[in-house]
Amino acid sequence: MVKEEGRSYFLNADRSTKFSFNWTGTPSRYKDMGTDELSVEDKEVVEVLMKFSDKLPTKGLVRVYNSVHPIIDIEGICFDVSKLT
Amino acid sequence: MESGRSVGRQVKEESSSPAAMVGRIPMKTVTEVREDPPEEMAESNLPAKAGYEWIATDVRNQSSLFWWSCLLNSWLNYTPVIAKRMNQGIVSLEGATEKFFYMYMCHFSQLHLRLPLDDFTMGVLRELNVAPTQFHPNSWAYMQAFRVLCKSLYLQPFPHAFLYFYDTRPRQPTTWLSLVSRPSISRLDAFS
Repeated sequence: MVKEEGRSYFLNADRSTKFSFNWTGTPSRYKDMGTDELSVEDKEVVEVLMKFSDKLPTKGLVRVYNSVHPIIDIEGICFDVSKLT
Repeated sequence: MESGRSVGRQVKEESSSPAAMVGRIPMKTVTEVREDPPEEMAESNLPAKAGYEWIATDVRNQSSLFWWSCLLNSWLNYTPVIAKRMNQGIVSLEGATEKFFYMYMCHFSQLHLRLPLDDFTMGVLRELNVAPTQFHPNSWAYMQAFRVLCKSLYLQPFPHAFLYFYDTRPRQPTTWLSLVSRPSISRLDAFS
């Protein structure tokens, strides 16, 4: 349950939730999104990631959180991506 | 938050078995061996909550590992669920009547998710129009990996940039929503 002091993290000013708290019958369908649907910022991220030729290990990347535990925010922690591949 | 049931009784012995598998991430269910009167057992064996008949049966049959709040509390004592530097009182585990959401244990134990959720995570949930437990844990893994990847490259993770790499195929009856990697575009392998 979201407590009063935590509301700003999960609720908007009008007290609506920032994401659905309950299951919805209408999840969004995504199919072949085109790059024209991306903003400039989105496009930059996509273009950089498209430069990787090999698939990256999802599990290995998730483990990065474990290695920095309990330091949860990895911001400022520089690590070499090549070590992950 | 997923709330344990408050019963002032210690579990004598319990063993968990990966009975229910969702993709590759096991959602553990508890096989109970304990000293309880029969009526207590019957009460603990609660049926799926009413009002969710429109959701696929296998989703509704998932039961919480935490039938007792003491189990949940013992886990929380050594697992930081709230992100660093955040007020520890932003969510509570009991007494939810309104404005609450559920999480699966694997979100914290295997995917290293922390509360509060960041704007990227909430943005993806909003874009997909799903609740946290409605989004398949394997797809949560993609999101977690994407965030690490972006931050390591000094990029900001954006919901749309993430979703560009995937398709979704909502199904009827409603079940977990999974991200389907777009062949030749996807850069993250499946969580295994």
